[in-house]
Formats: sequence, structure tokens, C-alpha cells
Amino acid sequence: MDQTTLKANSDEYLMQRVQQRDESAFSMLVQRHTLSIHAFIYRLCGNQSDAEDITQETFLRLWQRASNWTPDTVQFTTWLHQIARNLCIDQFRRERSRKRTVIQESVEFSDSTIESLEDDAQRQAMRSAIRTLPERQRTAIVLCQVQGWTQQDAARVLDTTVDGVQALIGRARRTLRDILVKNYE
Amino acid sequence: MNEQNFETLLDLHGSNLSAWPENLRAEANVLLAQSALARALLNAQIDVDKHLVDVMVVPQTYGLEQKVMSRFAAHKRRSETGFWRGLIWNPALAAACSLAFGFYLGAANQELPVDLAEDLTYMTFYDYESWSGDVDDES
Repeated sequence: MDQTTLKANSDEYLMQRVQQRDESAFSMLVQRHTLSIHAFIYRLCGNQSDAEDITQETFLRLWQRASNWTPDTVQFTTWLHQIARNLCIDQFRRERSRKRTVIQESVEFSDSTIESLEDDAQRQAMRSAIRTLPERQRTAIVLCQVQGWTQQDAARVLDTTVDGVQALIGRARRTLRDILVKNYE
Repeated sequence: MNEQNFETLLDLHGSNLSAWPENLRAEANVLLAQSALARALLNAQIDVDKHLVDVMVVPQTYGLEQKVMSRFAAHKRRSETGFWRGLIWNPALAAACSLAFGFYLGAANQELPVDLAEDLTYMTFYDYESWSGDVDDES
């Protein structure tokens, strides 16, 4: 894609400037995408401190590996989410190697202040259920159901097909529903 | 449509029946009117969808953009000085440099053996063919 065909200040245009080591373009991308990337990472890892750390690392990787991005093959936001997801997977592996399971007390999904005990129990069950989902199912659910991405875009992040994403979401829904129903009983 | 089909479709399309394909939605509505199990499944999925969004609320974060830029600046500083620091602290290179320097010093300070130095002097100032090798004879 020719630089002149890119809309000024679009992500793609800024990214091409980053490839030429333009720090102001990098700063603009950081301002624009930090919160959405942090939200995505937090929803995957469920821990605020890890989410902030991985967010910083994601943007550092963006700078270091800017030359790997090609506008014709993948959208900038998709590429950025791929980096973030890979870093989350690394984090999961590190935690596993430290003999910590995904279900752990340190996970701190936020509560709303006023909620009935019954609702609270269901939310607790849901939190535990989400943590037990395999990473790919969790990513698919977060992207499509929570963040409202299209299945096509989610497929690119997950490096699979739209059918693959549908299957992942279907399995995740079934697991979450089963756990919630058991919790009712 | 039976409950098993309905559950599979629920996995695929979620709890929002209006997003289902029209023909399937009509069949699902018929089943829901007849089956308590189908209704329970739908209600469970509605709860899942509701709680899923609730528990995925992201806590506010303050100054994260600045933290990103600070880490970036620190990384840049490290990579700018990294080359020279790497040269200095790279143990293998440091050992090789020390060794080479040692050889250089050794070679520079080495004195020629006295006999050889005298021979070279006479080879330079006297006719080698007529030289007997006895320094005192010539003088």
C-alpha cells in the first residue's frame, strides 16, 4: 500500500511512520490504543497488575517489530491484538510453570458494589468458569461477545477460520452454561 | 426441532433469538412454548450473557499511557548505550582483549639475546665474508 493512499493520521499511516522510527507517530498510537488493549488483556488474564505490565510490553513490541507489520496482510488493530494475545499466552505459561493454576485467588475481576447474594454467587461461578476456559475459547468469547468484534476479525487474531471461531464460541457458551446451571442446583 | 438441536443452536447463535436465522427462530419459538427444558436452557444462556459482560468490566487505570511511554524511553536509553556496554562487559570479548594486550606487551618489551644483537651489529658495519666472528680481532 502506498503511503500517499493512506488517510492522514489513520493507524496504518502512523504505523508506516513508526516503521521509519517516528516517535511522535508511536506516541499517537499509544494514546489511541492503550485503553482498548489494556481492556482486552485484562479480560484475558483477569489481573490488573499483569494487564498493565503486558500492555506496556505490547507497545514496546510494536516499536521493536514494526518492520514485521505489512498493511496489505493484516489490519493494524488485529496485529496489535495478536501481539497482546501472544504476550498473555507467555504469561499463562510462566504462571503454569510456577505451578500456579489459572484458577487462583489473585484474580480480581471487579464487582459492582450493590448486588444480591444470589447474583454474587452467580458472578463468582461465572468468574471461575471463565478462568477454566481454554485460552482460545476465552479469547473468542472476549473479542466477539464482550468487545463486539466480528467473527472474521476474531478469526484473524486467533489465526483460524470463521467456522473455527464459531466452534470456539459455541464450546465456551456450552461450558459456561453448564457451570451456571450446576450452580443453580 | 428438539431440545438437543435447540441447545446446539443456542451454542452457535447465543441467547438473542432475534439474531437467529428467521426459519430457525420460528421453530425455536414453537419449541419454547412447549418445552420447559428449552426454556431453562434459554434462561441459563441469558444469565451467562448478562454475567459475562458484568464480570468483564475493566477497572479504571490511571496514567497507563505515560507508563507505556516511560518504559519506551527506558528501552531506548538501554538500546543506545547497549552496544558499547555490551562490548565492555561481554566476558568472552573482554578475555580475548586482555589476552591480546598481554601478547602485545610481552612482544614490545622483549629484548634480543646479547649474542644475536652483537652479530647483527657486525653484520651491518663489517664485511660479513671477511668477518671471523671474533669481535676483538677486528678492533
